Amino acid sequence: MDPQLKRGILEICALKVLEKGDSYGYQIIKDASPAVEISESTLYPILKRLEGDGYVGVYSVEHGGRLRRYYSITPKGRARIAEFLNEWSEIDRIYRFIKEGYRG
Amino acid sequence: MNKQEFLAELKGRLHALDEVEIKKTLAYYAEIIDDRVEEGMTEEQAIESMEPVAAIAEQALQDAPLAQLIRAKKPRNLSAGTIVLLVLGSPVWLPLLIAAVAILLAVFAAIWALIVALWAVVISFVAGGLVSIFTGPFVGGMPTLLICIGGGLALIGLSLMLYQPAIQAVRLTFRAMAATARRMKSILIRKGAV
Repeated sequence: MDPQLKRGILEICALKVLEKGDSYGYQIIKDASPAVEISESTLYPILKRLEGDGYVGVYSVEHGGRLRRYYSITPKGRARIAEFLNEWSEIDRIYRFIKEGYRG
Repeated sequence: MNKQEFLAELKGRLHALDEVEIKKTLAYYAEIIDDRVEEGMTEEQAIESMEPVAAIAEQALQDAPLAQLIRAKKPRNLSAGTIVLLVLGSPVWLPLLIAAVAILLAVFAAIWALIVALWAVVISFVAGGLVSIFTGPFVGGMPTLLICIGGGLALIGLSLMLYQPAIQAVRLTFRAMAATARRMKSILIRKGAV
C-alpha cells in the first residue's frame, strides 16, 4: 500500500480505538490488531502527529510504580473520523467504477 | 538484549534529535516493554518481539527536520591521516560536491522558472481578455467590437483551461521537493552519519 495512504488510514484506526475509551500505546496496538497490524515504531509517529494536530489529548497515569501515557480523543478527533468516512464513500464509488471497468 | 541495553542503544542512535524528543521516544518504548513484561514476557522476549533497534531509530529520525539532521552531523574525531587526505583530496571532492548542490538547485530553479512562465501566461491571458472586452466599444464600429469581445472571451477561456494545470504544476513541484528532502534524509540516516 502507498505509505502515505497507509499512514493516513492508521491514524483513523488509532482514533477509532480511542473513540471507545482512553487507552495507552500497547493497548491501542492490540485493539487495532483485528483490523490492521501496527508496529510500535509505526504507532509512535502517528500518536505524535495526532497529538500535534489536536485530535487526541495526552495525560499520564501512575500504574504499578511507573507512569503510563494515556491518549484520549478530542471532539476534533471525532470529527476527523466522520470526515474520513465521508471521503471514503467517494473513494469507494471510484473503486467500484475501476473494478467494474476491468470486468466489462 | 535487556531493557537498559535496548534503551541505551536507542538513545545513542537518536542523538540527532533534540533532548525532549529523545526523552519522549525512550519513555514510549520503555512503556511498551514494561507493558509486555507485565503480560508475562521477559525483557529479552519483549525486545525480540519488536522491530530491530536500528529500524526503530531510523523511523524516529525520519520525522526530524532535515536541517536538524545536518546540524547533528558533527565531525567525529578524525585521525591526522584522514585530515591530510581530506585536505589533499579537496581539489577533487569539493568541486564535485559544489557541482552536485548546484545541479540540484539549478533543476529546481528551472522548474520554478517554467511555473512562473506558465502563471505569467495565465495572468496575461486574463488581463488581455479583459482589456480587449472593455476597450472594444471605444475602438470603432460594430465588427471591431465583436472581434474584441470574441477575442477577449477566447483569451479568458484559455486562461481558465490553463489554470488547473498551473496549480497542479505547483503542487507537483512542492511534492518533488519534499521527496528530495526525504531522500537526502534517508541517505544521511543510513550512512550512520548522525
